[in-house]
Formats: sequence, structure tokens, C-alpha cells
Amino acid sequence: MLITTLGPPSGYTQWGLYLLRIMTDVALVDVDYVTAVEIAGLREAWSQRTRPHLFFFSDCPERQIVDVFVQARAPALVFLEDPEDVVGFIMREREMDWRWAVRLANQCLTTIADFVAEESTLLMHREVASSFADFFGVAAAQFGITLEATHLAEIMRRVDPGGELGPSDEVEAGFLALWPHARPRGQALEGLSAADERAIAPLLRTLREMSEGRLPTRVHWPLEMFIPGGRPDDSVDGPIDLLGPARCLVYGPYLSLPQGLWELEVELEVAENLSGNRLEVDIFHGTVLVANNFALPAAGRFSVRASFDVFEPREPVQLRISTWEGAIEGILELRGTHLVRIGEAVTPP
Amino acid sequence: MADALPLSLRRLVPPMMRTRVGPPVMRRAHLPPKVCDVDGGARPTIRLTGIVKDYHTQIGVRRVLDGIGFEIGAGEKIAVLGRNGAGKSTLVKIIGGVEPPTAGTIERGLFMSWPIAFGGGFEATMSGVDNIRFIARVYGIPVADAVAAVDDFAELGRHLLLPVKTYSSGMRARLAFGLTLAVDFDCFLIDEVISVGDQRFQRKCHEELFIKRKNSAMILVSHDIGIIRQYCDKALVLKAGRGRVFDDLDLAISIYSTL
Repeated sequence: MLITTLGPPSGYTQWGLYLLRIMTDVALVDVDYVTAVEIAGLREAWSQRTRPHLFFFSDCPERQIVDVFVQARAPALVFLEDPEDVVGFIMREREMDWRWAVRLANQCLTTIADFVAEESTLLMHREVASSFADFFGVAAAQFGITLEATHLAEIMRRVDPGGELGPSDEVEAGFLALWPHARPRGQALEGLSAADERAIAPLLRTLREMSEGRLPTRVHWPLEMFIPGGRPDDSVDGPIDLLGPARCLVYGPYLSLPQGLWELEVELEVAENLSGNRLEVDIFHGTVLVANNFALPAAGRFSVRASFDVFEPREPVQLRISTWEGAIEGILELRGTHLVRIGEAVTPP
Repeated sequence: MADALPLSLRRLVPPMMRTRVGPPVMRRAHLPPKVCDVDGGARPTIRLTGIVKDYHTQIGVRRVLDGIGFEIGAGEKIAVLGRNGAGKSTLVKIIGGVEPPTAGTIERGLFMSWPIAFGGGFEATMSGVDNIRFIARVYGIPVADAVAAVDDFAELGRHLLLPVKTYSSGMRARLAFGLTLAVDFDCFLIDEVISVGDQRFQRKCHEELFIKRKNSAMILVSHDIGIIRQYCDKALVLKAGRGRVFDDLDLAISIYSTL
């Protein structure tokens, strides 16, 4: 039996995996547990399996793994909770800045989006209040596991050796009581500044679309997700001084996009560039997909458009803006970065 | 002291001038009025303000310099950096008074040289010695001493007796360099002169300029980053006629390296 599970690196995913592993240990007994994010790792694990049952989990599978499982229509289970809770958990557990937590959540949710959209996939939402009995019953049904009353009692004994939780108790209550860094729903991002909340909002909207099985067609990358050249620990917070040698002025946001043909529009504003310069705007996605090199005007607002294919959602997309000549003056401002999915990917990877 | 002159040149120097003592460097007869600092101090400076230079070409007006401004005081050394065509040589000519600016002002509070190795001031039909005499009189320095100093430095020997039009570009540069060093300027304008001549001569130029005259102010146009790092206090980077002064030499050089 193959038990395929996925989910972002969140507290609910960890809690759900913990519960499912206990369930399979009790109900199936002989189970190999395998995690992989790349097809090579999956092949190796597959070749080393020694037991009749395989419990597979991935939080960030590469495209080939997704294709293998989706095309096989193998039953899968995806743990989902609101992206806000995912990001907050990552921040707390890994002591990450919210930007990097969003990047990780975005990467993972993008890679499992195809599973979420599959009708055969069971979506286990944290938002759905359910008892342990319901939780295990639904999961067992998804994989065709026969769960008897004795099994459930043994599972609950292992879940909570103290014996305080029973089959009729809520999974959410157990999660909050037992799991480190767990927080009630909607409280994950408490403490963020108002400015950070504003910046994170459009990213969470995109992530929610994917969590609901919808393919985002319009994406906005906020300025705060971009990194100024030479200051990897900072984020862009306003106009960029062109003064200095030819260099990468800004890069980022290291956010993943679903497969497809995307059109990027970068809005820029330049001022005081009286001595001229050349600007290069390129899109890096494993390799440089598109590069626009053009003369920078002395002043004014303009936009650069480029279209590119995304084949591997696990590989984050990077926009890079570089000066091509040293500058003695000038200011550049990144005013906005918008993406529209305009079709299916057409160029082979 | 006429005996100190090469035999070939002794007859060219009037007897009453053959009295040089000390090093072959002359005190100027006339000092320009000093330009003082904005704070009212007595620090003499060279100050450029809003220098613009336009050339009228067949395809319209070409602005070579656009609002250049900087200031250097006694003993300060500023590098002028820029790609070919950025306006460096034009700026040097304007500072040296060889060309007028289209707009802007230059206040010369320091006794400033013409551009070192600039050959434009020579009369080509006159001999090297006659040119030296002429310049010496213009600057009010003893002729014999000027001739001796230039001959000593430029190593042109009997070629000094020949018309300058027969000189190679290197010989012209050596003559001009020698003449510049013969006058005790407060500030030297140097436009890539270090590349003149062979290695030995370049070492000589280097020693005369940067070691013996290390306390002089300099406006130094050079692509030699080593010299700029070693001797300059700040740098003016020119790009497309625009300019910016940097006290941070490393930043200026990094910009220049990728212009």
C-alpha cells in the first residue's frame, strides 16, 4: 500500500503526519517511511524499501515527483491550513524573518498546488473542526485502510499517553495542547508591524488561492521581498542610489510560480540620471530566461515587460536589475512588479 | 655657472644670465591674486564652478562638459578619471587656460602650470631653446637657468637647437615636461604625461613630479590607478560630460573601472 502525503512545513502538517504515522503503525504495522523532494531521492528510497507498505511524505516535491504521483492518480492526502498560519509557524519554529518564511511557504505550497487541485486528493484542513475519530476515519478511508475500534483505542493511547485525549476530542485541541509552536488559528502573525502586514497581504492572497486549488493568474510581488545588491540581509525600502560601480542593484523575490507562461511587468522610475547608463533587467529561473538591456533615460517612469516559461515550480524565480556602467549620479525606484499567467508553458525545459 | 651648461648651449645664453646657483627651479616673478576659502580663511585654492563647454559641430551643439565644479587647495591632489571622450582633456585645457569655457568660472588662487606635456604653446618654427627663452620671459624667470633646467631634465642635447617642428611627439613632450618643471608652480596640471618616453624617463618624471614636488597641488588625469591611489587625495569622475568629486578614492576607482 502506498500512502502519499503532502503539506507545507507547518505545525498542522507535522501534527497530522504524527497522527497518521501512529495510525499506519497501528493499522498496517509493516510500513517504510520515506520523504523525498527530488525524484532521485524517491528512486533511492523506493529501491531500499523492505516492507509491504510505503508511507511517503514530501513538503516541497520537484515537478517530476508531482507528475509521477498525479499521473498515477495515486490517492494522496494534503494537510492544509491558512498560509498565514503556515508562515507564522515557520517564523517561530525556524526563527526566520517573515520574508524568508513567506518564501519557504510559497515554494512548498506552489509545488503541491497540483495535488491540491486533484479531485482524488483528500484535503485535510485545519479549519475543519473534527474529532480524532473523524480524522482517522477519513484518512483511513482515503487509503483503503481498515480501522477497527481496537485500532482507534491504541492510536489514542499512543497519541496521548497521559490519557487526557479521547477519540471524540477535537484534533485542534490536541494540536494546541501537544505541539510545540502551535498557535490558535489567525494568531500566527501577531506582532508584525503594520507595514509588514501590508506587504505580506498580497502574498498571502496568492497562497490562499493555491491552497483552495485555484491557479493564481495575477501575482504581485511587493517591494519588501526584493533585496538590495550588496546587502543580502536587507530588503528594498525605497529609491536606490545609482551612484557606484556597475552592479546588481536589486534582486529577488525568490518566490515560486506555478507552471505556465508568465508575463512580468516591472515598473521603474528614474531621476537625475543626467550622465546616462544602461540597465539590464533579467529573469533567473535556474538559468537566465530573459534579459533586457536598454539605455536608461535621464528621468521618467517606464515599465519593462518580459514573458517566460516556468516548468519547475520548486525553483524560485528571481528578477535582477543591474546597472551596466558605473554611475556618478541618479536614482532608481522599483515602483511595482506584476505578473500575469498568460498561458501554458511552451518552451521545453 | 655658465660652465654648468652643456657646451652646445653655452653660446646661446647671454653672459649676464650665466649666473645660476642652486637647483634648476625658478621663483616666479609675479603671483596671481589668491582665492580664499569660503570660510574667509587664507587658504589659496583653485575653484571651478559650473563649467560648461559646448562645441558646435555639423550635427549641432555637442556638450562636452556640463556643470563641472570642484575645488583644491595648496598641496591637494585630485585625480580626473573617465573613459576616453568623457571630457578629461578638455577640462585640463580649460583649467590651464588653453580653451575658454562656454559657461562657468575658474578662480585660480594657486600659481598653476599649463598642462604638463602640452605642446600647443610651442612655436614650431622656433628652436627648443628659443621656445624656452620665450616661456622664461613670459613667466619672468632667468632664461639661462630655464635653459639649463630643461636641458638637464629633457635630455634633448643638441636637438634643443633645432626647430620644434622637427621633434617627435615624445621629444615635444619631454621639452614641455622639462619647461613645466623649471617653473615653481603651486599646482601642476598633468594629462597622462607619465606615459611619455622610455621606462627610465618615466621614472625620472615620476621622481620629479611626485617625490620632489610632493607638496605641490596637482590635477592629475591618468588611467594609472596605482599612481592615483598612491598620490591623490580625491578624484573627479567624469561621465558623459558630467562630473562628481569623491573623497573616497576606492569608490571613485570602482566606478571608473566600470564606466
